[in-house]
Amino acid sequence: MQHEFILDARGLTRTYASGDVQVQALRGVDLALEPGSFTAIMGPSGCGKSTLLHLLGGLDRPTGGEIHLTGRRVDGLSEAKWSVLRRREIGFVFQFFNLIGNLTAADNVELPALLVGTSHGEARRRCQGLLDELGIGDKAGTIPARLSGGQQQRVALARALVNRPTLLLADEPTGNLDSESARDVLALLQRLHEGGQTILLVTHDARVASNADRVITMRDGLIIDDTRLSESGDSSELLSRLIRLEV
Amino acid sequence: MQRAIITKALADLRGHRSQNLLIFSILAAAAATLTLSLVVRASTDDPWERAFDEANGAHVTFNSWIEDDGDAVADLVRIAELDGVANANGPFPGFTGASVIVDGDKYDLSVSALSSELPEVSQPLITDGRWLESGTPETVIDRALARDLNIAVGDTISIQSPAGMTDVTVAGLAISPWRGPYPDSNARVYVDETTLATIEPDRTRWFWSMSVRATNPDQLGPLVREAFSLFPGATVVAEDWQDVRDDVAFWNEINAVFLGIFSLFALVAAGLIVANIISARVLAQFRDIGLLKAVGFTPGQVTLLFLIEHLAIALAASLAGIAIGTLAAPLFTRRLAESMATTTMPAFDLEASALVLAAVLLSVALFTLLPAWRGGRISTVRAITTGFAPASDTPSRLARLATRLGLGPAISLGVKDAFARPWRATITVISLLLTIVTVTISLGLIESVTHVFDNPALQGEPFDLIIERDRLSDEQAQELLASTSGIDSFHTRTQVMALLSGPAQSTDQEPGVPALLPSFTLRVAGGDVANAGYVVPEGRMFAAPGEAVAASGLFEEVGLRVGDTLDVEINGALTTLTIVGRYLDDDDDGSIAMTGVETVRAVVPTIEPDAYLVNSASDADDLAIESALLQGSGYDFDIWTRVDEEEGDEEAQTLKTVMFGLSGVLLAIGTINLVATTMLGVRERMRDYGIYRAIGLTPGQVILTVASNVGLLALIAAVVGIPLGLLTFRVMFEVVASDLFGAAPEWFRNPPVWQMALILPGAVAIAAIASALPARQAARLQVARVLHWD
Repeated sequence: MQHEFILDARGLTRTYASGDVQVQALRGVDLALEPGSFTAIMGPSGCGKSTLLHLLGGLDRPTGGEIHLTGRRVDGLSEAKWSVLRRREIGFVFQFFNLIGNLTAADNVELPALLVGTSHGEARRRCQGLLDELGIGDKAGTIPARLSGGQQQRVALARALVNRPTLLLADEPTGNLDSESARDVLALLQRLHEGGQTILLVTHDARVASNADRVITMRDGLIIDDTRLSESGDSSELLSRLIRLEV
Repeated sequence: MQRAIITKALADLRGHRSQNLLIFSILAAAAATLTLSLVVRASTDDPWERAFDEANGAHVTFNSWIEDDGDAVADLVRIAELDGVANANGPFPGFTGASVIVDGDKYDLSVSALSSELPEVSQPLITDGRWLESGTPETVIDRALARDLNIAVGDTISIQSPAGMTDVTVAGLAISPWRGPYPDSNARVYVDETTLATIEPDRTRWFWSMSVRATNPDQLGPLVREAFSLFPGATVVAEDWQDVRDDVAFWNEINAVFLGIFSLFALVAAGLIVANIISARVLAQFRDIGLLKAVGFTPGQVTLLFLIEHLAIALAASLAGIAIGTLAAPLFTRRLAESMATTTMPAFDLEASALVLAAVLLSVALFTLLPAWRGGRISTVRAITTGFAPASDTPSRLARLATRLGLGPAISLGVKDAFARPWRATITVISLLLTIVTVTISLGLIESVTHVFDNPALQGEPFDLIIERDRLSDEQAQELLASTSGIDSFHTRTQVMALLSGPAQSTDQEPGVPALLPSFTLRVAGGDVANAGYVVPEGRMFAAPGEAVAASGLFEEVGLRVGDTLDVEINGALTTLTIVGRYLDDDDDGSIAMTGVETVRAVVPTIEPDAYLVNSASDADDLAIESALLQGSGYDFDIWTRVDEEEGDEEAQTLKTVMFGLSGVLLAIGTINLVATTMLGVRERMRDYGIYRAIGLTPGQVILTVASNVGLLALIAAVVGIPLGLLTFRVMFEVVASDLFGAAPEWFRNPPVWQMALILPGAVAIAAIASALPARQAARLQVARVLHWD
């Protein structure tokens, strides 16, 4: 059943205890993602964007608010149920790649497929297809330590996509890459988006954010701006505005 | 700079409390076990040696039952003039048919008559009260008996004998270290000759003792042979001081030997854990080490830092362990301490303690040095910029294998990291191996000991009752035994000393090996020996005159083979024995033989049975048989029944307790190592566990991952450890038990299959339990925080 929103979060809050001090990382955030959208969340360090991403992916629990994923409320799920949901519905890409060091690229990619019960043969086939598609098909048997940053991030991307997730969450995916690799990864994300993948990306870099259809800006735990590319007019003007927001 | 090192060391000690406590506990356990072993070992020799020397104990005591016709006593006195005698006292009279009854229980006594002047040789050591004064009916009794029966100096006891009851006042308590201690032997009580005559007026029933100190106490053979030659046809028995020492120390020797072996195991296991924890500490403090070097610590000083930290813990742990071991030692040495009149309070042994301290400190230094040295060699830049030790750069074949075997992603992820740190994994496996080997040996030992005690025939005691007569004739005694209901069969026994008069003659025409011992105990059996139940693993039981069987010890000492002949002298008469079989008998460490009464009667016609050995029917009540025989003999019989025998069980129980205790210590050490390994591994792989959770492993699957990691190591240890343990036990039995204690090969029993079958799943279960807490930590980690942690 097609839902209006793939993801619908309302009134999300997250408070941490830091010693005796209570820190409000999120102070009431509403966010809805349409299917097939490419959304970037940007903001300075400490604005709560990564916290928001972690809540939406079930890696952390909100202090308050609701999260609905494909029409189902998920914020109250147990950790085990979140894990099962995550392996089927959500793909994660991280800034530091977070690949498993002593598994080959192929082993890393097929792991989530094995988790959902895909046969080894089918998982391997799907994995090789993804690696070929991402241009690193010849690196299937290589361990992460012997891959460049860009190659590692592609492996991470393949791992995130192997179960054809409903939603792809990317936390600073280019933060640890050189500019050329960063461009390549962004181009891949664009291609995925054009293929219908719903993507939510977090970045502090305006130039990265400008690749998305929609840019949400956060500061101090709140959304302060929500701009869609079709409404923004000139892309260079958008970029300038984003850069101003960045500082 | 030294201050800087000490400051950092103190900070580390304060900062890693739980790890330090772990290391402390393990080292203290190892130190305690080692201390216990050394103290028990010392207790077997030192007190007995001291007491024996203080008493100027006889190296050999000649006991004779010849009539007091003046010449015979003079014959005994002639022993003092033989070559090889350094000093001699006697002969002193005594009587063995007396007893004391307390609370309905009868305690047999060996009554010895001495004057008010203490003898020079075999001088009783007074521990309480005083020695005898002439002219009064008083006694000095064995200290261990007095403690057992709550008899104090000044009490009056009634000594029962065939002549009636004799009341005597206890003037003092003493120990007689040249004799086997009570209750292994009858308690010795001393009276003057007048009192002895009251106890037993018939002097022909007295025995006479001559106590001799030899010039060459380790080679008593020539002296004994010459002494026996003075009494052709008479019954003379020689008690050897070394037999007494071996008997006294037997069980403590066993305990000490096995304690010694296992405490070494414990020390090695503890050292391995320390090495494990230290190497993990080095990895965890990667960045700190880099910073230390950046501010000026040399690699040598980094190494010294680790050494100081761990030697400090080792010192504290050693002292604690030594205290615990010293306090626990009396539990094992209590009986021996009682009989040797040493204190039962814990006695601090400086030498043993120093040895333990040195062993623990040296082991810790050794196991710390390599990882500490590696810590000092870490590249400063890499340590500071990276912050963590480099991960493995080879793909995991284990993971691929596990996936192919269809074990599921959780288990595959767990096993792939089992050998990610090869050094640590190896140490963990070895530590577990030691545990499993110890458990296997313990189970085998317990099974073998149980087997022996459940089957007295394996010790050469296939009978249920032993009967000695006093005034009844042999014919009357046998008639009574034959007519008593419940008795299945019986045979007679007389024990004589047989002197080897030449080397054993081998049947395969090789030259006989000269005998290593000049004399041995020869059991002379008559009646229904065939149905008695003696175990004859080689050859057969004797069936015709001139045939004999020998036990394992004699086979080894004399170099016997079945079929060999021995020329022996019995009471001055020569005869030849053909050894037709090897039978099981552990008396005299197996240096013993048995032959038929017809063989000996041919050369010693006057030989008569000392005892009657009775096999009761399977459904008979031995106590009822005892009661019937006592009544039927007019209370002339002195009867021992197996159902009364508790001492063997008590010693076996002690050994079982020791084995269980040691296995428990090694199990605890192995489990602690597993816990430590898992905790360290989880801490190092927190990031990985975060990734697993991020890609969809449930908390339960993460627990399974952690458990499989350590479970694989436990599985390897069990698969290798079980056969290794069985092999080690076999070797230990053959080398230690056989050589030291004369254990027969037939005593050996492997642990039951069902017990061995439990070891493998048991090891894996322990691994699962040990990993429970760290696994839970991994499962409950905050994913977001961990993945952002760098």
